[in-house]
Amino acid sequence: MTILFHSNIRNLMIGQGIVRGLASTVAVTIYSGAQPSAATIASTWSSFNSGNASFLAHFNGVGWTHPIDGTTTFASITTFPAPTPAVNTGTGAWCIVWTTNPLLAAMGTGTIPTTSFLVGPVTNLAGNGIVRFNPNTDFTIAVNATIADGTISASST
Amino acid sequence: MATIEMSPGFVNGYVTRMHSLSTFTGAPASSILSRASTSGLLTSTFNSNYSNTSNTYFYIMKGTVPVNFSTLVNFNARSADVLITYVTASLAPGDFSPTIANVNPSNITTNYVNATATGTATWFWWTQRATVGGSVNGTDALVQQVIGTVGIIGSGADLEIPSVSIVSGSAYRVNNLRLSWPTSWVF
Repeated sequence: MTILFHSNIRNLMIGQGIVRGLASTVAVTIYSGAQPSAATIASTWSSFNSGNASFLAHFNGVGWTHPIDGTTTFASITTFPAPTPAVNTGTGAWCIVWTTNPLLAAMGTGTIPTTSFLVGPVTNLAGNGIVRFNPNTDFTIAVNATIADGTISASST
Repeated sequence: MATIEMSPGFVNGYVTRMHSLSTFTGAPASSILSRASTSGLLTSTFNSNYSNTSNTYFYIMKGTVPVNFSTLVNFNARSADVLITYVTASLAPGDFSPTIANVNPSNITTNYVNATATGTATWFWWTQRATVGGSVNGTDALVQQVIGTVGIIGSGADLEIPSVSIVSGSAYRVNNLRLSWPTSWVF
């Protein structure tokens, strides 16, 4: 028999495991291309800093909460950042949700702002990205982009 | 399928929060699910409002092993089958002081505790109660539950012990029960 966890563990994972690991507002960076492993990002940050063409946009002040007094099995964005100009042109495919709120100026160095982060997909509203855009995930350099919504779900863990 | 992954730097804090060893669960919650969102698996109690008895009870059990949680509706559901009980203390690890809960996989280890009944150990029941007597809003439901089989070493049980013949009054401990926490998932 495999150890069985009651389904309430999902609420714990989102509330205590994820959301409490994030600052009240954090940064989210959008990238093009294939989603790499988190370990790859941490170990080869120079391939992902803002000097790379795949680095499309960087949002500050994103607030994630666990809705309805923690009774859901997902966290969602409830504090939205201001529209933010894209850094490069491309199609967003994945993102880093940082546990802190590093500014864009801190994203261009050879040192990763923090090794504590989450990685997940980016989609339009028809997809199941953890950060979504409307109507598509196309970014144009210097043109403002706006996050439509965001959800981190534990419903299939 | 969409994949979410935690960075290695996120994981240890995540595992620590999932256990909440020696940590109080927080203010009264509106529901069991609400409390479940903040109550780690080794949570302690805090003050007289919540009693200085533990919220976390880890039982070595006898009898039929449940295949799901449908019959484990409250903390008294199988009280007649309890052989040994390990508990946390008020803002302290209590019987779980040797546990290592800040790395992945975590290592659940307890101090020696005397068995309170004699019988053949068949499963463990790891529970997390809500408040005094397990109540949230007048219920005695459990906030978190984990169950697994108990067997002799080499049996392939989830928790292996040298002998499953438990004798009342004799001392036993849980040693090196390792839990590997998921750090990525699809949804």
